[in-house]
Amino acid sequence: MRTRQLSALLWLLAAPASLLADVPVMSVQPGTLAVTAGQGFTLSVQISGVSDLYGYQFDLGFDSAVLSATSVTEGPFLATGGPTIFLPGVIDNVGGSITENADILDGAVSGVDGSGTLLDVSFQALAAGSSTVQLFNVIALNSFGEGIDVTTSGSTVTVTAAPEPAPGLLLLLETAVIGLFVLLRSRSSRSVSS
Amino acid sequence: MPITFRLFVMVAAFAASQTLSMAQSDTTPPSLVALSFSAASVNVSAAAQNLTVNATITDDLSGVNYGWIEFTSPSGQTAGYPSVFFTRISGTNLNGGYRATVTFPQFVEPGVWTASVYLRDNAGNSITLQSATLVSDGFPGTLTVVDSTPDTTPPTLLGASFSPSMIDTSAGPQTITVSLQVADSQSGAVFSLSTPCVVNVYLSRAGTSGEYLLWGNNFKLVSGTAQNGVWQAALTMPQYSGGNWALANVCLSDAVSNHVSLTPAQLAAMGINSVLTDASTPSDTTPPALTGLSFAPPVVDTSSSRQNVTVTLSASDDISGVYLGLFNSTYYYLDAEFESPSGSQYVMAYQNYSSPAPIAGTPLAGTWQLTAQWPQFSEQGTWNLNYLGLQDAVGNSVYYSPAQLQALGFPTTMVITKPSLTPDGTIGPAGGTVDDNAFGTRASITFPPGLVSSATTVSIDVFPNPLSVPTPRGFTMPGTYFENLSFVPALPEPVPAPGITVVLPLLTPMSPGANLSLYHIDPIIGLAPAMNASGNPVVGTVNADGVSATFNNVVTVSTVVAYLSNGSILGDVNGDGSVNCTDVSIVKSSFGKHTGQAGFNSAADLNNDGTVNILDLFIVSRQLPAGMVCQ
Repeated sequence: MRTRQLSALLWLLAAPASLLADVPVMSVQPGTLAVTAGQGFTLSVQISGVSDLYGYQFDLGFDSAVLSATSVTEGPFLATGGPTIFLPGVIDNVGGSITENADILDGAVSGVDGSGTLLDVSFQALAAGSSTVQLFNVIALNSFGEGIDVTTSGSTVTVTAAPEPAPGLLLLLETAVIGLFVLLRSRSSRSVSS
Repeated sequence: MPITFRLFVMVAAFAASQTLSMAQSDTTPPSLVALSFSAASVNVSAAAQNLTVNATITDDLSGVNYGWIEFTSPSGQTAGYPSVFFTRISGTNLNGGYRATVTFPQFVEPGVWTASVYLRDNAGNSITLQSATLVSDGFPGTLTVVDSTPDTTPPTLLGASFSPSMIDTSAGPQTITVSLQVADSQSGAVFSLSTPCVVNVYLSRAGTSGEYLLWGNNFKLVSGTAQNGVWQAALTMPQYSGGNWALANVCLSDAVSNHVSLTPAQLAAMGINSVLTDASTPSDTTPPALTGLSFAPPVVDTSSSRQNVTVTLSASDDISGVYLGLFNSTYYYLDAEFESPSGSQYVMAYQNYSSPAPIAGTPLAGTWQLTAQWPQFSEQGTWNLNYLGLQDAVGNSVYYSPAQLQALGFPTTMVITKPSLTPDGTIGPAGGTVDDNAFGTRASITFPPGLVSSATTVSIDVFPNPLSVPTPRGFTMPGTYFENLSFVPALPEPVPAPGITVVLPLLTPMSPGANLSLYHIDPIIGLAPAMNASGNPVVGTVNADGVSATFNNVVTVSTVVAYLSNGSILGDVNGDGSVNCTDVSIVKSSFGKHTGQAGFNSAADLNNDGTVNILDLFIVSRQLPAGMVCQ
């Protein structure tokens, strides 16, 4: 009996989170990211542990003083259920949002099950700082038009200032340039005199 | 059966149904069952005296949340201001013994003091029992106070100043000191939140809505005594709060609650003209503007537990940025107040003490989310948003009325349901039918054999009044009552095939065989077409009795209602007689737009909730012919 209890406990510990969780999770991945100012990068919105996902809509929020969104593209997950009607969200780099990202299956078909990427968003890091990229106003529907209860998690993007050339390196470059200049002048004057 | 008799039966059944109230909310406040004082009089000539108050308080459903007692002197002094709360010492919040200890300070006014009792339950219902009511109910309503040295005069303001009086917040916030010299010869001045003043100093900026407050607990006695001393409070002026700030009001109170509220004119007459000048450039003098507002979910059921509703708002501000928390002791904060149908209950969505970061954007243009919480057993029906307030970081504030919000295309109502959940019957694995205890066969549920594996309790609640949810496009009006269906244990969602049969009572008699379309209120997304086991919208027919309609193979059940069609085809946005990619395009081109917004196409708002979104696209997409692919 004791052995059975222990093995059940081990199974629970070893079981994937999706087996233990009742509610699908919609998340922005990677959960944390470090980039430098000026750098472009892509975040994915993923869903895990969902059943009969027929369509979704959500907004994404970010700090517009730190990040700038550039494009939204459809992910592969929903299209595994058939043709889709995809609406990339409206990017607002003043209000820091990408609103009404939506995707829905075409026609009277069943939804998709499992986990996968819903869409990808490209950003550019503007300035040093930290920005969360959060999901809000989330609606997920099954093929019967019922709302699917999902939990959400966002991403934190840390932007560091772009590195400037070190002073020592600048000095070395200056020395090299001056040396080259002197060398060239020296060769030039020798050729004239001969 | 003669037709005249049949009509009589139909009308009689209809009339009877109008008088039945199937769903109940907690709409009554707590009751005071017993009240006693430890003494009929107190003598405070030598020292303060305590009075013990015992009470028995009951509530019918949600339970007592809190209550207090307050005593008022003949001239308006109060004991234990603002009030002394009852503490439960026995029983439960549905029937409990409560106690409060009221302190009568030395120097209070002698005479007959009147008592009043305030009671509030967890659903927000409240009642105030004045002295006369207490006496007429057989309780003590007065107390005699004896005092040979009463203090009946309020404190006197001898001076007020700002230090420094010239600042510049262009580069950042600056902290100043506000000083008040106050005299009160007997009981002494008091600065605290437990005085009639609460807020002691208001600062206002000429020509703007900017206003800062200093509360009683902000002030400290820095020299002298309570009888004659200097009280100081620190005030941090935010960046960009430029302008001339003057005392708009000074309120002073003493230990026995004598108080005086001094207007700018009275202050000027006393020679107190202190002005704080902030030379900030720029200076923020305009309040924020609301640019977006939504509530989710639009309908909540408070029968089983309290319910949270997410309030999402977008706003912008020109210079200092939107600020949703208390700051600088200012009482302004973002708040939105909902009022129940009867006007007896209120729910606030607010952000207090600290301003949250926006979930999108920056304080200059961003989006925030707040939570409004409806207590369990909240009153059923349509709750109206009374106002919504916004402020910026320097205290400029704006309040939007419901009419202003509606003009902007924003929602101003929430629908609350509270079915009784009283069981009407049980269905086991063999299947069967349960009729509503009040409506009989006009409101029933039928399970096919094998739908459930164990006995399932069915509760059918027919709402006496229609819920104020918008009628979907393509329909003229509800043809049936709204009816809540609850099951213990809960049924899977969607219900397994072949689904269940639902019979709904009609609002008015109809011809047998007429069609109605079934909708349900999804707990997450609100009103949506109810589906059958094949994933198609459910259409039912009026029964032979002419007062009920039957809907078969229903798999989406919660609160249901059926609508009368105007003859149009579900999902046919442009009305050309078919559902195709043109309809999809129309919805896509208006996607995300709400009422009043440029680009909003009401024809694309199929569920008529004021916004074109995935719920509308779902209706069109599901109705596309097999094989038709739209992009």
